[in-house]
Amino acid sequence: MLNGLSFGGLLFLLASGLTLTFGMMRTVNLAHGAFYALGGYLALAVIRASGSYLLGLVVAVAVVAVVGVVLERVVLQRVAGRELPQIMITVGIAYVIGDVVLAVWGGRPQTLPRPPGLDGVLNLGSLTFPWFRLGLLVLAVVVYLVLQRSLADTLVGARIRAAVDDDETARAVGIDVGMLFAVTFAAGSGLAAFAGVWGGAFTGLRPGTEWDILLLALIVVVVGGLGSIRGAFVAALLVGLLDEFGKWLFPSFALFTLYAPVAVLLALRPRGLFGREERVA
Amino acid sequence: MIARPHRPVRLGLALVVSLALVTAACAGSAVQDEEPADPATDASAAPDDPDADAQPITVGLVNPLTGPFAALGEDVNDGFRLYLDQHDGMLAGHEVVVETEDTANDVATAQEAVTKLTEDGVDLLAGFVNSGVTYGVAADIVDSGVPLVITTAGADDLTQRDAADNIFRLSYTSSQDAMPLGEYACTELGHETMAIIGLDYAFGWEAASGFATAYEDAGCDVVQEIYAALGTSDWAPFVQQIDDRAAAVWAVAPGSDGIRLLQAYRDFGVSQPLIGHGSTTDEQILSEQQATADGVVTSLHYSAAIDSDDNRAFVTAFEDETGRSVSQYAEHGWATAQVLEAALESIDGEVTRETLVEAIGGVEIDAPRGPLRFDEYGQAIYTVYVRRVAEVDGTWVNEVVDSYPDTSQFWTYDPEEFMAGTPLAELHGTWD
Repeated sequence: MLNGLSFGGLLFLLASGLTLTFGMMRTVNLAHGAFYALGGYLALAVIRASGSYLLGLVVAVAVVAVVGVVLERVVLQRVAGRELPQIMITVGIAYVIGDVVLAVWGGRPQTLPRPPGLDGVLNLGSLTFPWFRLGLLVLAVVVYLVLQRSLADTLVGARIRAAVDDDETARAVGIDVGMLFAVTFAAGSGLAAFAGVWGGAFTGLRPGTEWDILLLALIVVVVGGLGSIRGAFVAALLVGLLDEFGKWLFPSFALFTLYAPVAVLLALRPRGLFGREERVA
Repeated sequence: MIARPHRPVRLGLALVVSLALVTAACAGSAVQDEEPADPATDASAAPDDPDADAQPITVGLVNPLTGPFAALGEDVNDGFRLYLDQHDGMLAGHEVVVETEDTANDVATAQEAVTKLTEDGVDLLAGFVNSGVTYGVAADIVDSGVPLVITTAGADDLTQRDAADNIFRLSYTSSQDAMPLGEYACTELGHETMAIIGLDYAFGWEAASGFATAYEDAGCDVVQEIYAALGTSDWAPFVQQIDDRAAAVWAVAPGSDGIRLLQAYRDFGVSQPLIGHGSTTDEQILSEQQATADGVVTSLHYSAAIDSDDNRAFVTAFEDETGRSVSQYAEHGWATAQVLEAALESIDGEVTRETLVEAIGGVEIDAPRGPLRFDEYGQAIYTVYVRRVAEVDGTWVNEVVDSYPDTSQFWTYDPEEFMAGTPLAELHGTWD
């Protein structure tokens, strides 16, 4: 049970950036997994060179956030609102990042260190549970609350919601929509890198990580419902638990027990758990 | 608002397309990667030597250099080139020219690579990591008559039921290195009951069933089998299911799965001793596993810690040249060059595809792993080492604790009976 929740926590971290860029901004960013991997590898390089976990984390998040903004400003805004070009472009970028990572860091599987202080195991009688996994769950809750609150209660959040709902009116009342989208994209990309640093200590990094992660993140965002942070959070925990129980009950069909309920849910409720009804203009 | 009239429809379409794309890419990354091939990096390792009196020999290296198995292909190629460089590009008096193609872990790309290389007139093909890819090109290679030395792909039947005259393999069949540990675990380690935990695809099944066959024939009992998908992100639910009836656990999980499996095994304090197939603590991942692999006993035809002059020379040369730790894959590349050299030495007269095939079948070399020769099916016979992971001078290594010389792919069984039986891959799930 705790396992499933902690894996769900990781899933939410993976998906949190994507809920911003894809869920809120409706920009299909299939390079999300590549940002995750890039963040992980950058952090690994900095941590190995400097010995500082925190420095690795900060550098990875900052660099990937900049990469994300450049991508959004230079390329993606030219195809705003056109999903198919966005898909083709971001898939291409994911391949480029994947091959650059392979060229720089090589193809051997690597693992990030766990954050300092979370290396041990919690022992409660018969229950043993790694601190790191507990930390993941707590971190997911914190990220969720921060995202939720900043979108719901801050001025920037209100402006983002306005821009997403109706960008023409938002522009008309003086909101700099382009700037807002750049900031949101930076946050989304930075979160992908942040997840890469944590997830890299959980699942490791290897060639192909970018696609594994993207699939999981898309599932969480789509099941949760586009644009809903709460939906993504609930969906992540749900998928984590599903995965856990699937592995217990039908170990050889673990992928089936993960994806089949997702397919059924989407067939019955295409907008996901907490997705808003799309308005037809 | 006029600008976006059909948003819900288009968004839905976009979702479906993106999910489909990603699913394809993900499935690909596990089995057949869809990545486009890098332009082939043709590398002529040998300088033109005007004094060479013998005909030049061209070798086509066909390995994945992009995609999930890139690290394996790179090690094989570097091992081969390194041996060649140390002999100034000359083997047995022949100048050797290398052509390199990337399979990108994809059947179609691999087929193009093989077609190109055979049309270029290569004398020898060497490579292949993914058994599925190898099966996809095997028929073409058999037809071409070009000798192929498989350097990693493990599917048993490539050198058993589907054996061909011009196909050789100097890496393991999936079950070959697992069977000796079956006997060792039962008789030497004294683990009377065993749980098997491994990856849910042909290699995992063949290795597990090979281990289980030898283990149960030695008089012990497999009590549980757990198989998890390739690329399992969270191994915790699997390791927590391990049965108390098992005295020990045998694992087969190469690559990043091996890192995550051992991490979960230690995190959740599973009490039974862990043993496994050698690829589970391969040198490519051991530096990441570190203490989580401490004391794990595995079997493989190679260890970087083999104490011999041949191996020390190889390890030093490879690590100095590449800056990476050696691995079984690097040894496969190096040994392929040795096999070619020995074969060329034994050929009296013109080197043709036919004479080379015959010569390779008869070679006996001293590789870094020890003595190596081929059986009548083209599969290498070699020493299988029992290794235990330990930390020596700050580095984690697979220390050799015992060895089974001259281990054939059929272990102690009769080849005809072995191949007449149920294929090992189909026996998985029947041992518990």
